[in-house]
Amino acid sequence: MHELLHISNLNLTFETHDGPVHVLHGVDLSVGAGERVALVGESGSGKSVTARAIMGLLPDRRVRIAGRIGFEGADILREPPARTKARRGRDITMIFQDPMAALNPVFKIRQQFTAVLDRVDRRLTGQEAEEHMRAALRDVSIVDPGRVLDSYSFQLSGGLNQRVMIAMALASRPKLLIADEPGTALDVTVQQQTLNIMGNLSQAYGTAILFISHNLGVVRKFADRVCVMYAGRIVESAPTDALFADPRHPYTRALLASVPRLSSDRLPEPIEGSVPDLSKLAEGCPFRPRCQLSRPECDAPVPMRRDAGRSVACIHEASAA
Amino acid sequence: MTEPLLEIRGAAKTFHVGSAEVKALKGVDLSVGKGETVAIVGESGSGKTTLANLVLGIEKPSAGEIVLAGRPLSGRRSKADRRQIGLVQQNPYSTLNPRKSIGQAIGLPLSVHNLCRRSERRRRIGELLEKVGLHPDLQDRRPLALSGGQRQRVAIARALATDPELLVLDEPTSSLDVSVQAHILRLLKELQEELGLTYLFITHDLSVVRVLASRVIVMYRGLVVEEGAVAEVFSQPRHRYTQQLLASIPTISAEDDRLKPDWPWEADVDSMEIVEAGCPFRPRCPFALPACADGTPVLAGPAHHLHACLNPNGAKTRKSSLELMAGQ
Repeated sequence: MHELLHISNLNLTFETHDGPVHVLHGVDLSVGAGERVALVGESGSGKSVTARAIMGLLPDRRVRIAGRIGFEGADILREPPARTKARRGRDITMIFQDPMAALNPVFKIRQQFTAVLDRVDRRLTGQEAEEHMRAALRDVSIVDPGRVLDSYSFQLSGGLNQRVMIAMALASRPKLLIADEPGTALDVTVQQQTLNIMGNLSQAYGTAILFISHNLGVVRKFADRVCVMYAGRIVESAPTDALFADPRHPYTRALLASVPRLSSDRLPEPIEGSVPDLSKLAEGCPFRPRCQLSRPECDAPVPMRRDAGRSVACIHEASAA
Repeated sequence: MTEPLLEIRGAAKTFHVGSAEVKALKGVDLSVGKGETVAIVGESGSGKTTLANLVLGIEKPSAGEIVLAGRPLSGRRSKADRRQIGLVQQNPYSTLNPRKSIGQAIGLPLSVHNLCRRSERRRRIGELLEKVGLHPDLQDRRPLALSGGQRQRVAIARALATDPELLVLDEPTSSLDVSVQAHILRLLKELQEELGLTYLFITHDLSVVRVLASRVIVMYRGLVVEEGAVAEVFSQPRHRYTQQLLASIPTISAEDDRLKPDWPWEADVDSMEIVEAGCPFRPRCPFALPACADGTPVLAGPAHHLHACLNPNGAKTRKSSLELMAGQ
């Protein structure tokens, strides 16, 4: 597969009044053309920051960033900001968690969609733009695009707003769509519908998706490959089926055990302890204080063990393999 | 079921918005036994939170009554009545005042209800904190110093301060990470066993229902469409809306997948249409029959599993607009 996005050794530090906070630590991540990759993790694991770094949406001040974010040969961290800006909304687009918050309530959908198209192609006439928008809305199964374009976001249901967001994000036929917790704010039935639509369309357009979620079930249904993040690191990465059938990192296993099951009325297993303070994190495995398998060797930097399309950052895995 | 602690009889609530009427609840009957956990599930707009507000006395019912331990509760609750019911809400980041210490948050119900002497107060707050698995010294801290899971424990401790018999849990784990959610579920289960609490558990997350509740009520647009024992409803969902809800659960194993009913997603309709008569789910249902438009749906079936669907087994009756578009 042709590699579209290639992040290597990404390190990111926020300078705060209380000192530096290491938010990302040696993140390696790649997304092939048309591939669907999920970043899963709990709050504070660094998944949204990774997305923002790719989009070039992090502030310059108080952020130290090192490593490489390669996109089609270019290095996003080193190119002129104008290049990144030109790519944003065209080659790389983004969908956010809450469609109600992402759309502006004082402008009609038509005005907001027109602004999006303006970034895609400035030469479109009004008539062409209108046809373009209607076709895009029909693609996301909106039966009456005219009415939707004439509406404000607050006049539409959450599901319809999410579809509008999907239509806007895919209007430029981007190479990469970053979906940050899409539909988490919606009802489950509606979330399921919109994920189906987003999946089918991106496939039809050949758009790759970087899917950010805390919900393992949603990830399992949607992604080809899953990267599990913990404390700013990717601790395990594997094809989706392999990860769920045979999770290898102790954190991945613990995370899966904490999800309530439909097939059992037993209480799920919580993970003891809490997420480490990123400003005080030492070398070594960040999950060590909560891990039942921890040994003194876990204090040393953990090598990433790679084999057969999987990688795991755990010394136990290394010795077992 | 043991003797009922809470009975809701024909509860209805209509809100007046300008000249429009919004029927949030259209007549709900429900009985919750002492020590039982009943889950109310449904999406936004189903009326589940309005129902909770009626139980709590935050809203007055337009019709019907709320009966607690055999006594009808009036719209204006006496202090003694209010002590009987505690509330835990969804978001522990917005339900605790950031400027008040944890001790002040938990202590407020104690002083409102004159539940302990001033000299005893610190000890009592510490006791409540220990009950929810926190250190008593945490009472001097402010919410900002606490994690989401700890804050939700504080919210539970506050709800327990008045020794209530009934706790209304309104999405108590929805805003938490899964690993933290598992802690709170455990705590709720332990507290129930230890204190004999009765839970009215409101949620849109069906996977949590399975582990916490014994009975489930499925609501849609202000009506109960299905109710019964959790194991029963989950293994044999009858109402089409319940089937769609269960089919939407994001599961993490093949074993769980097999328990999900089939749902024709390709035929799905996202409709906001609100119908006055007949089944409220009809505008979205690919299985709707002409008869679904008539009258008010009536719950029927054996006592351990009631539902109000006219076509729980039949074939799809219509194409969605999506399929019609594809056919053009």
